[in-house]
Amino acid sequence: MSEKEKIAKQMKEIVEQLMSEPQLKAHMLMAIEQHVKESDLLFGRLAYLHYDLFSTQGDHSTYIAAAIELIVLAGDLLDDLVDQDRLEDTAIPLHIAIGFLLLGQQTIANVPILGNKKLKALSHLTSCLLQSVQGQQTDVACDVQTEADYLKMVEKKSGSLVAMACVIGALLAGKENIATIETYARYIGIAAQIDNDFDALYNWDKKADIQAKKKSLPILYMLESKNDNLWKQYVNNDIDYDRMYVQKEKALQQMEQEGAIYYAKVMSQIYKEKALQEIEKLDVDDAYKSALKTLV
Amino acid sequence: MQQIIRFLVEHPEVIKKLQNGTVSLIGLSELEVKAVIKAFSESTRSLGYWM
Repeated sequence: MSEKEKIAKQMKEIVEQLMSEPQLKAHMLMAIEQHVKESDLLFGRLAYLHYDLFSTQGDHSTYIAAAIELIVLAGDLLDDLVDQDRLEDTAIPLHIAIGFLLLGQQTIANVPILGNKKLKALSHLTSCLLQSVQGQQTDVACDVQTEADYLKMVEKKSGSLVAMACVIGALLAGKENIATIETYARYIGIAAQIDNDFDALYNWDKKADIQAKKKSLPILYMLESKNDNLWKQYVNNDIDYDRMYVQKEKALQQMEQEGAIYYAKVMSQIYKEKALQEIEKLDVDDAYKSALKTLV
Repeated sequence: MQQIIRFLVEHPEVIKKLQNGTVSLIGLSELEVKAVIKAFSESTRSLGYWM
């Protein structure tokens, strides 16, 4: 059984054990099935790896990974609710999301390891989630005007979630100094979010980012161009979404011609390189460093 | 970084020279140059997505 399959199985077992309301339980199990199809459970795998990396006793890697992945799934569902990407009814998804959020925390509280490690981990978890929700709000409110604003927002929104996964794994394993881990985790999160926002440029029907006028790096680049372009017209309300949508190929072509796509790729690569540089500072076996680098 | 990318798009010959190490870009760190070379070496839609 692969690591991903083990984490997915554990997620379902946690729902089976701790949820009793039949309808909610069934929906949560379905949501996990869907999540496993769409995701490679990277957050869970990062938590797994970091616990495994620093742990000297007890094999709780899968359990901890499942807890983190349940929390991340909660975040995904809440994100969908906010974006209205694919949901019509909000009551059940809201209860599922809250259920996953609490279930993840309960699972960490239930890990049979020393209380002070769990206390530190749960405190860090709350702190990361608070940062993430504030980053989400900045994103949804479209408060991003500059590259610096964008990077600050994604560090909060996504960097804090990757930091949560890596650091909680390490803290539960008893690792005291988490500064380097926190740093590279945030870099990984920023790079991933840049890539994710880039993906949205080519998926207008699946993601609501363009319709919501979220200013990702390539869009900020186009807004700074000395040439007139569709992105400027759209963001400045000179054309509406329908008119922009029918010209999406042209809009993307303009981005490619001006270099906006390269800009996003370079920025993503910079954060990946920074993460790799930090990972090298870890005082662990090269095999672990290599495993970690494959997730960047 | 935006200005550097605009310059490189207008002067693609500089990318080749960067790759060969025959020119350097003032204001960019070694890490940033590495990222620029890598990004410009890939096709424009080859990023991997995982979130």
